[in-house]
Amino acid sequence: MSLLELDDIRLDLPHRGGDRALLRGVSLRVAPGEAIGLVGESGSGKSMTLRTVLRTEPAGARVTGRVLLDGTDVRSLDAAALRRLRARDLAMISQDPRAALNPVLRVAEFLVEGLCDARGERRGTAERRVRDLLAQVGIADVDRCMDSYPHQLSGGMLQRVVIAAAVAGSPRLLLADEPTTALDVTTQSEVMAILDEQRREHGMAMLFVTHDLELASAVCDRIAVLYAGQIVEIGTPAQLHSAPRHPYTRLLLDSRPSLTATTPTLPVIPGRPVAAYEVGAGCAFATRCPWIAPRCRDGAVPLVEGDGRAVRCHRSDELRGELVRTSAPEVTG
Amino acid sequence: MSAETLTGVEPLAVTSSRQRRSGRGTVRRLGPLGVAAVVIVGLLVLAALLAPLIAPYDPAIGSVVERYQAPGAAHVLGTDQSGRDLLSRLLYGARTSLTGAAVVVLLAAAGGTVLALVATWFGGRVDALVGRLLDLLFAFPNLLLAILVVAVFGTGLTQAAVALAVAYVPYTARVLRSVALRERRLAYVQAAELQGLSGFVVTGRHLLPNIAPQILTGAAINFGYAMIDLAALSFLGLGVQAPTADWGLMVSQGQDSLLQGYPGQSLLAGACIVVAVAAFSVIGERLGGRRAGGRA
Repeated sequence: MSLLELDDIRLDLPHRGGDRALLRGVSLRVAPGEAIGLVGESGSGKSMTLRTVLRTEPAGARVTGRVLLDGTDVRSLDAAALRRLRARDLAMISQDPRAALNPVLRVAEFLVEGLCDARGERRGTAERRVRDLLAQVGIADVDRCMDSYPHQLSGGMLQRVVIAAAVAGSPRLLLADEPTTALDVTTQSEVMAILDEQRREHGMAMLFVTHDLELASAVCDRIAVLYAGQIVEIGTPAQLHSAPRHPYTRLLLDSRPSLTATTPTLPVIPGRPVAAYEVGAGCAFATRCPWIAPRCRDGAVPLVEGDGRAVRCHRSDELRGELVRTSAPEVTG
Repeated sequence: MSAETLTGVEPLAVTSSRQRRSGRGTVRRLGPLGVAAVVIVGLLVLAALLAPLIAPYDPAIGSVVERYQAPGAAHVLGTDQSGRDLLSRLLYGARTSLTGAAVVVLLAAAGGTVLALVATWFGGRVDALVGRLLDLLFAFPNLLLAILVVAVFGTGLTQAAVALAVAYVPYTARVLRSVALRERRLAYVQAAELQGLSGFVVTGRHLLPNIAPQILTGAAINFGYAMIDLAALSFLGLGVQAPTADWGLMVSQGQDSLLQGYPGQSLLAGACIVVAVAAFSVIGERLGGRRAGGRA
């Protein structure tokens, strides 16, 4: 049974002159302990998908569809049950750790009190646990870190604290929204490694939002590529890298600068990202797709499953050979 | 995780923008006027505290023989219509005036903060309800509300102070509500909520400490107004009652003497009120300005 099940999530925001769709039917299953990457351009709906799980979508948004966590419909919980769920089963790691920590609380106060209040742990137990965790996330001077205010620590340090806080509650699902974007490049990989290690060690499932396909490939079991509020392709990193079946995935992979091959110009996907509410009938990617056929412009395209993966493209069977990447780099994970 | 781990900790001196304010930084931000205001307030508080020790005479007892004495060796600032030593009365007056205003400000800040936090936390209908309640209170002029309370519960410093506190709550609450609302939208408050913390903890432990500077600023500014209003109530005979020494009361009692050519009492007490109120206002304004400029 899956731990998390998103069933046809649609999200509309009221806007002058009619509602605007942000998510147009996102369906996804996450098995216990599985890491899934949500990848896409800005505005593709990856963060918004996370927010529907946490129930922190923007005010006034109308959400339909079901979010089942262990069979419980998250969307229909009352405030008290939602609080218990957040305290027990979910943890969120956001982009900017500096913004996510209370500036006037010391790290120790933040971590220990969080455990005490949210999970009803005793102070002594909580403090021991927090010390262990801080050491685990690679903080050398635990005492000094515990005694510090957020402004006294670096971004990478703070994100470790946030990771420790997330792991502290032993949640079953970790929601990470670009957890390394606000950090500088050298700390990014460290923090990502710690997050990955902690996740595996504690057997937590993860929804990992990023626009970095390579990064997602390194730490995720499966990757869902989002475009204009829909999943266009989902599969393992190896599947996506060597044989993408959606033109968008292929172009996304091509537009990553390679470390080995030198190209005179970096390939870009022509056109601009289409917002979910701008999509008319037919395939959302039709306006930018080099492989477009007449039938792509009419009728919604279903997400077709097969071979342990799924793709939302009319022509995926015909294009199968053409989309294969011959020079696909080795993918780990 | 061994060698790289220490790189994350920056030396404390590097982070300047959000560093805890050092004493010298505070002085620089207050400016010369602000420092003067702090000194004045300090002296006033000292005078109020030490009044029994430093006052040359009993403020409530005088002899009619010594009425309207000019400032001199026996009475540094002269005497009033009942022959009471004016300096002693001013010193004791600082006690009543400052405590009265402090009570008003404390009660108003507490009430306003609670209302603001409740409105921000629950939002929606509760927020609207609190908003209407504040509108209702706003509709009454401060002094009118105070006079009403005094008329019902009797005259006296306590009644006047409580009445004024009620009248001040909407001002405090409205400002703090907007501050708390802005703070609540920040990521760390939402992160705290996502941790599954209770509303009580999120507001008390996360929101409250972060709006404390604004609470302080508001209180400092209100302190000045509270002194004026309390003095006005005493002047009208609704606050502090004779023979207790109080600046507002002294201004009022000095009226008759004023007409008889002895302006000393009213002028001195009035000057004390003006100086104290100005000092508190300057401090409040400087605190507010520092806050606005000090945080990105």
